[in-house]
Amino acid sequence: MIRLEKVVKEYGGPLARLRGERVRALDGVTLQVPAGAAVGLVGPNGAGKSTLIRLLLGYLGPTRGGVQVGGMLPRDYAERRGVAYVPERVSLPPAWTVGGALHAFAALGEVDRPAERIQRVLRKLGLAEIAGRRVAALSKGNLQRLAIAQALLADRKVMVMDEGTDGLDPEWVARVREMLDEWRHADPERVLVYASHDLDEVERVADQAVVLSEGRVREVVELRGEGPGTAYRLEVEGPDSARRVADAFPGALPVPGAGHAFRVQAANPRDLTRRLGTLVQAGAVLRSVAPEAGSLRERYHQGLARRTEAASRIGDAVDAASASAAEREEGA
Amino acid sequence: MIPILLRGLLPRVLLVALLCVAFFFLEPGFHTHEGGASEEFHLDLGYMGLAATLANLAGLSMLVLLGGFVSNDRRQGYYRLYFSHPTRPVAFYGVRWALGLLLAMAAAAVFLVLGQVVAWGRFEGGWSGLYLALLAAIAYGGMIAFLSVALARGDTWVALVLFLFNIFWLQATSLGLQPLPPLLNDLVSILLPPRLALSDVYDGLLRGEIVWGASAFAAGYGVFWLLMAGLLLRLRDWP
Repeated sequence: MIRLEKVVKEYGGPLARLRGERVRALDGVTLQVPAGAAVGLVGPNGAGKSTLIRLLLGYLGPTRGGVQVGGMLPRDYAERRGVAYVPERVSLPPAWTVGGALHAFAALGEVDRPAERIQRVLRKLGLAEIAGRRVAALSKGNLQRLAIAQALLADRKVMVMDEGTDGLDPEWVARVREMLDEWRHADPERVLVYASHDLDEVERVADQAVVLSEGRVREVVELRGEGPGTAYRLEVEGPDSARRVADAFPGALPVPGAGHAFRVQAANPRDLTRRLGTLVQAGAVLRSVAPEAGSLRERYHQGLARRTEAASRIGDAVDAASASAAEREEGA
Repeated sequence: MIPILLRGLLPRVLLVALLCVAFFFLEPGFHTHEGGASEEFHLDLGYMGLAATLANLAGLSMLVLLGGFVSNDRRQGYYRLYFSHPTRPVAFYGVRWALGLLLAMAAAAVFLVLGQVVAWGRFEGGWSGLYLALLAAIAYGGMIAFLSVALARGDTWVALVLFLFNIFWLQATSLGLQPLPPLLNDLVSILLPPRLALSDVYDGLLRGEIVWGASAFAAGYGVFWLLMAGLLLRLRDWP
């Protein structure tokens, strides 16, 4: 569905090129996102996430390499099919009202039965009561929800969220996550690209995370399909409870140095609930259970560390070359 | 979408209305009766004389209605959500430009009729003056479209400066002054909105004829910059 082939994107015009001041935002990025996939884009500030997203929407063209969405150039794809897009910085004419903005986007997006759709997204995103409020008077959270509402107005095949839940409270973050899940399951061909600094959220939403740093792909982390299911961190009260964990969760691994905490796996939430029930019935006392957020976080830092190592190797090589040049000069 | 765009244009339409009021006081033809002017003076500055004012009004209205219509969207980032929907930027801004043209022409028509009724107590005619206004609107509309696509900010001010400079330039060239070397002089005359061609069309209208060559040049100037704007809009990255 989405293909990036050795994509290089540099900023700066011909004058900047002459002065050697061009900034390389993406450096040889190759990526394939098949239909039905949800890909997370993670990386530090300036890693190239937003540039990559703008390339996917066709707002920018690559300096070198190729980008295709649905077999077309991204701009052509967006102009013909549309992309459900939630930008990092939501910007709308301040005089527009919430309802008016949705009417405008329904008209731009050639949405069928617009009035019905608008009412549905207004209710879904909790905006019905402020439909007449001007954009200028919206809080960041409400503005973000409006952006999500316009993205959900039409039936699109591709959704791109760039820090899409930024500014939302935890309750709305969870609700949006459910909406994304629902959106994906309504059509198995749908593709989600989700860029965020929140690694835990990416882990919950995406099937795969791409770690970007300094414009390069450092790691591609599979978040689904590794092992029998999702990993959780389970903590129980006292040694008696701890002894019973392995009965309910075969293969449970104690977390070193964390008291009675274990890394356990469950195929799905229903399976997790059943196993926890078994554990409680056996007399164990639970302290906490939470999805294990370690795998992406670990791989993310590994990816960044590799970059640092590479940089320091280059630095060492430069230092060594300078030192030997200096020695040669002295010898001469 | 058009009602939403029109609503967005409302403050600018009010500005155009103010411009109409200002032009009413500036138009000598509307005040010939006040000083007991001669019949010839009335004829010369009468309803056909209004054509020149109509052209200036339509040209300025285009600058007011369309100033920043692309650059502002780029700068503010409004385009991000607009064009994630299946919409071609060229078509979107094309509709906005056409709306601007319609409103500018509507303002000129209202000015023509209402101005005469208020000043002279009756409508004497002069619809053919709208032809000159249309050419001016196309010429200045093409210029502002290109500036708005090409410049990140300040396109309205640049267009206004060019509008005013053009008046000075036409006066200077009509007095035979050549402020610059000949080649540069010709270049500036070609790049500036075609006031000389519009002036030829105006003279033709006073004689009761249409000067096709000058008309084509004036309209062609606007269409050329409009096409350049469309091309640049297609090729340029969005920030």
